[in-house]
Amino acid sequence: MKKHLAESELARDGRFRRNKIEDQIFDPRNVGLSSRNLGPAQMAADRPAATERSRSLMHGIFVGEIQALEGAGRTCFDFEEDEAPFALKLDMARQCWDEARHCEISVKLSEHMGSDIGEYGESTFLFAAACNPDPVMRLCGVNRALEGLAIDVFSSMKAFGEDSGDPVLTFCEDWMLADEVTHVKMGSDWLRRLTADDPDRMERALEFQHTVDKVFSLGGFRGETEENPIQITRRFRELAGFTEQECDELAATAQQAMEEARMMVEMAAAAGAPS
Amino acid sequence: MSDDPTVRAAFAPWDRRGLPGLFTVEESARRVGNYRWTEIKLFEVLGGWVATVPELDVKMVLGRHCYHHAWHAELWTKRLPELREMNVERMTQPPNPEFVTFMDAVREPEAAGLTIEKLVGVYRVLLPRKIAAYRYHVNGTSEITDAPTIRSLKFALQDEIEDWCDGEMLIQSLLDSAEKVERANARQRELEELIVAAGGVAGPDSIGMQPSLLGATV
Amino acid sequence: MSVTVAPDPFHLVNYDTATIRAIVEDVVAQIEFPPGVDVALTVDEGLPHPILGTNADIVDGAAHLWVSGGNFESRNKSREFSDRHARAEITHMLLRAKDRLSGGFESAPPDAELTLGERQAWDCYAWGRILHMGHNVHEQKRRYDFRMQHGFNDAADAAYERLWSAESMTWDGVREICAETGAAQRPTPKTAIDLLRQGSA
Repeated sequence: MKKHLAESELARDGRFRRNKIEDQIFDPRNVGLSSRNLGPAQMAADRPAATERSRSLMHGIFVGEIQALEGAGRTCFDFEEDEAPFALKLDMARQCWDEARHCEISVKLSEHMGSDIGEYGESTFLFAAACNPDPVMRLCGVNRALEGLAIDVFSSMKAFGEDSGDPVLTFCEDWMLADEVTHVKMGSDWLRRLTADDPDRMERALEFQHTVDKVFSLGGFRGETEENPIQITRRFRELAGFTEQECDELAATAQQAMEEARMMVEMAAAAGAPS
Repeated sequence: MSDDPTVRAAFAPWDRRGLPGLFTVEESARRVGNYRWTEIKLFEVLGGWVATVPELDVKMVLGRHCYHHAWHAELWTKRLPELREMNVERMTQPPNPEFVTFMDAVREPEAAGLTIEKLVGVYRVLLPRKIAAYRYHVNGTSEITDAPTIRSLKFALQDEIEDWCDGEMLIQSLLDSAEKVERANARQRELEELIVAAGGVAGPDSIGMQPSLLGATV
Repeated sequence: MSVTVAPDPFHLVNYDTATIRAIVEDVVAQIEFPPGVDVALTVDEGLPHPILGTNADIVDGAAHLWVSGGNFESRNKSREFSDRHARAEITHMLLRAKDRLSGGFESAPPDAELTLGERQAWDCYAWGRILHMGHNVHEQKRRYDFRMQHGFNDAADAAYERLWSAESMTWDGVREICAETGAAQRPTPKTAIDLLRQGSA
């Protein structure tokens, strides 16, 4: 079996449909949506279409868990001992187990919430971040950026579970949240260890992490206001090894992403795009 | 015998553990080094296969099993220095070149349509051989002097047997036609021939069917 | 009776007005919608899945239906029409409109004045009937929607079963169920129930 599997080669059964990221970004409805009052975006039981939004997000979490499992598994296989020591691979194998468990939890949760596997499309940019040929970049992109996002998402979903009185959702999200803190910490610890003598490599890795963070803050998906569906969870991020400064930078990135999205909408509206 | 009731035999009548065992320190370390090599190769490929199999339940099982074997490798990482082998990497070796050929063949399938070949290699050929070798080691080594190895072997065997069962059930669920049964048989035949040439996970003496280095007799 | 569908044509999504109109006419016949009552359906094509919503009111003797474009959207292909989802949603809206006319819900307030609990209970009653008409309704989905507004407990589940299997129901019956499950005691949401329709162009 070859090393380094391309994103396009991810194996799926017939239920799954691949979304193209450009379809989402260039959806002509985005222009009108941003200027429309849809109520606060933060997940809550009394928001419009609360259950369908949560189902859609839950399915997105589910396919993300599959890709996280696949990414951790590839990291076990793709590198020789001198690139990724045994202890790192042991941590990645542990992550495989955790992500497999998260897949199982997500399947059960989807059954509870009334959605089917493959009911919503799948975007594969999480696995794309896990395809980086440098293991340090993978750790930053996946374990720090994307698992950090997972902390935010699970915390938001847990809060939604509590708000809506759904004990199953609350229970499941909390257990998954605990695991994600471990995964982020793995990323932080290995980043330090593998780049202890190579500050340039650390800087490049953190830059990659920042890029991934920005992608997932697109359009205000994540932030610290009511306008953001997913809330940045500072407390758990600090447990996972993020500094207060890093959390501040992330919040600033999220705010910047929201402003940029708003400006794009205004420009498009001024240019006479349909709304 | 003393009248003092606190004076008791050091080994209770029901404690039948004796000395010696079949393996010297060096022999036990050699086998543990072979086990470590195998567990590492196995967990790497199980992890690598997750992205290549389309079946969702197989993905999740491979993810779980990947950690089991990585953890076994970690058990052996800790045990080797205790067997006077401070250079863990030096002892982490396959038993012979034929076993390398076997493991390369186990790890070779990649395409999405080869789930049967992937699983048969691991769960119908490799794992049964590992279970046999581990079981032989548990039974053969000294329960007193090599107790830490036995303890780790028993932990590992619990996973190995459960994983063997998981894998076998997955295979049975996939073999729904004569053509697929033939694929499984062909794959198993191919790999059995290779592992026979290697002797087993610890070489020709994996399960004691050849003369081995014996400990001192009393 | 006339059936009108707006917009005509669609600009932002790959939906066809004539196709949708044909589905409405088909469902009108299937559920024996009162003859002589005009049906006006507005599809808000600016709203994607999962921003969903429907409204069904009787205004000046005509059925005014509003639906988010996301309700008709394919779940795994953005901006594409799903005949299956559209047919189910149109059936749902027309059943509720029919309830308002002669189905025991004549005294029900307009959709904009319903509470979330009342709306969910009525939806549950409608979806149960749609299932029995032979549509492929995802019951667990509807159960979860109901639980979201009525609670995750035995009392709510019992109320759900009654609504789901009911052959007939009234507006007063819905209000009783809301009192029973405690949905009636929930605080007023910060956002209006018909916020999405308010923002329609």
